[in-house]
Amino acid sequence: MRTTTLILLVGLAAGSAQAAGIELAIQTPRPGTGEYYIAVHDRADTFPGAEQAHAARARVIGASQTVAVEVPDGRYAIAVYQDLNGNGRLDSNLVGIPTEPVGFSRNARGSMGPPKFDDAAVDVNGEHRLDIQLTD
Amino acid sequence: MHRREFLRYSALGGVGIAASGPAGPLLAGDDWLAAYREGRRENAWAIGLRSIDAERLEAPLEVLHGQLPQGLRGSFYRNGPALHELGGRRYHHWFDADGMVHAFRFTDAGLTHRGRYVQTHKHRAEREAGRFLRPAFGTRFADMTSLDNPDAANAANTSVLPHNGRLLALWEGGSAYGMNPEDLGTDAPVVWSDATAGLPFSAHPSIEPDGTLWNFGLSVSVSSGQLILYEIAPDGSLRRAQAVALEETPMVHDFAVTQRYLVFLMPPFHLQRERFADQAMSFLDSHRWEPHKPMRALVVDKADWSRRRWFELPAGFVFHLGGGWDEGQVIHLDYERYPDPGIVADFARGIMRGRADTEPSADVTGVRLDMARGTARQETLAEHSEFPRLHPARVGRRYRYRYSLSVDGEATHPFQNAVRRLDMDAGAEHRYRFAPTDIAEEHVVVRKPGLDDETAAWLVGTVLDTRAQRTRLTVFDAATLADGPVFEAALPYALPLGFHGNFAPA
Repeated sequence: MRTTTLILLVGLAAGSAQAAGIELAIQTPRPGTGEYYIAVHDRADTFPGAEQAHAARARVIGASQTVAVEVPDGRYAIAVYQDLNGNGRLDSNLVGIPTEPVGFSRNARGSMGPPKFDDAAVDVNGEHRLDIQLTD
Repeated sequence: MHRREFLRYSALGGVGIAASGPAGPLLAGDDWLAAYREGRRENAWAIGLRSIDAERLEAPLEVLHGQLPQGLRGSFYRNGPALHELGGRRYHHWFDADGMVHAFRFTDAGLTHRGRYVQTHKHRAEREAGRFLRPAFGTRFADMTSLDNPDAANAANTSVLPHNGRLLALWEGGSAYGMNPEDLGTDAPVVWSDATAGLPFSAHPSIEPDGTLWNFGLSVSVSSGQLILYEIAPDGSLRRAQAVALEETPMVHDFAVTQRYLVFLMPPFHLQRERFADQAMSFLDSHRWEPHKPMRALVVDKADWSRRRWFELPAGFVFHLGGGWDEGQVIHLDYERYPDPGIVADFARGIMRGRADTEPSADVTGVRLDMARGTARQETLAEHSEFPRLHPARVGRRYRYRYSLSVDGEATHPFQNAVRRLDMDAGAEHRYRFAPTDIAEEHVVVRKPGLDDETAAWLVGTVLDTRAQRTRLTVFDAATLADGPVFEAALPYALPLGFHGNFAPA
C-alpha cells in the first residue's frame, strides 16, 4: 500500500530559487515501525552529518510509501534513516555503524564508511522522483 | 538477513595479514585451478588444499593404534577453510574459503566424524549463485560485489569454541556464528549487545580458569582503526565492551591475557584504509609491510580499560601468542615470531597453486615488559614453532609448559611435522616427530578430569597423512609426549588443512 505524505519544509531560504519537489519512494525491510528521518544535504563537506539543508519526518506505513519534500532547485544528496525505537536519533554501535535501517539517494553505498556526496547527489530541477531502499 | 549493512568495514581475516603478491582485481577464468591441479600431481601435500564440495561429511574412524584413554570422552571440534573452489574458480589464498566445522565424537562405542559448513550469509548466497560473490581475505575477483559490511564476507573459518551450551564458529573480521553442538546446524551471528552488533569478534578468545571470556576485534573504517575489547561472563552475558582508537591499523590475530592485563602485539603490517576502501584490492593486498617501524605492544589494565601503556619491540610479524603472566611490575609473554609477513603474503597464497617457494618459520620469542621502567625486551627461546596451546588451568597464569607444533628433520611438505612440549623454566623440550609424509595440525590440551597439573593432560589433534591421503586423529599423553601417540584413528578421507579447535568434555 502506498501513501503520500506532503511535507512543507521550514528550512527554505528566503528568496531562493523556484521551489521544486522531490518525491521519495522509500522501501524498508522493517515495515510499519517508527518514523523516517529524511535529511537533504547540499554540501559535500558536511554530508552525511547533522548539518543538513532540509529535514523531514514521516510515520512509517507499510513496507513502501512515498514521501514528498519541497526544496529549491539544486544538487542534493539525501539520507534516510528509520527510527525504530522512537528515541529521535539514529542508533549506532560502538564504532558508529548504524543499527537502524538507513538508505541514500541513488541507493549509494559506501565502502568502509558512508557513501560520498557525489555518489548520492542528484540534480533537482522541477519535479524529481527517487527510489530509496533502506537496508539494515 | 544482512545485519547493519552500512557505514563501516571491519578487519576481514582468516589468520593475520600481509601485502605483496599479485595486486589488483583478478579476471574470471584465471589459471589457479589449472595450476593447483598441476601442483597436486607434483606435490602430494597439496591435497591439504583440496576443496570440499559436499555440504556435509560423516564417517566412523578406523582405530589404527592403542585405545581411547578412559576419561577422554566428549567432542573435539575443529574449523578450517574448505570451500576453496566454486563455479570453476579457485580462491587465491588459504584463508579465504568458507569454514567447515568438524566434530570428532569420543564415545565408549568408538569415534565418529561429522563435518558441516557454517551456513553464513556468504555461504548461502554463494551456494545459491553457484559462484563466489563476496570479496575474500586474499582474493578479489573483478566481478565481486562491493562490501559495506564485514559480516557480508564472514567466512567463519578460523576456529570453533564450545561456549555456554553452543558452538561459536569464529573468524577474525566479523561476528561469531552460533552453532548447534550436536548437529552442527548454524543459528545466526551472535549479538552480544546492541552496541557490539556486527562488530568483529576475533578467533582467539581467551577463557580464564574462572570462566571469564576475553576477546577483541579489529574494526576498520575509512577514517580509523578501532580495537574492540570484550569481557564476557561464563553465562554468555556481556560484562563490558569498548572501542579503543588506534593510530594505525595493524593485522592482529591473537592476544595474551595475564592476571592483570590484556596484551596486544601489533606488527607493522598496516592496512592502507583508503586503498582498501577503493575496492580495487583484497584486504590482504591493501596492507603494507613497514619494517622501519616497530612492533608495538599495547597493555590494557583488565580492571580499568582506560589505563593503557604502549611498548616497542623490533619489527616482526606474529599470528599467535603462547600466553602470558605478570609478576610485580613485569609482564612476561611469548609469541611465535616471524621476521616478516611472508607466511601470509606469499606462502599462504602459493600453496593454493600447490607450490611452496618459501618455508617461513616462526621462533618462540619471550617478551618482558617492565611497567615500572617502561622497557621492553625480547629473546628467542626456541626455533620452529606454531599453533601454541596451554593447559586450560594456566590461561592468564604463570605456566611452565607450552605445547605447540614444530619442524623436525626431513619432511616431504612445507608444514609442521612434530608435536612439542617446551619447558619454559628449564629450557628443555620433548617432541614427537611424525612420518616425513605427515602434516601435523594443531593439538589442543585436554585436562585429565579433576587435575590441574600442567602435564596431567592429553594432547588431541589431527594429522594429514599425505601418503595414505587420509586425516588421522591422534592422542598423546602430555607427560610422555615423546613416546608417541597413545591412540590413533583414521578417517576414510583427507580433510583440507584447518586451523584451530577445542575439546568439549562429555
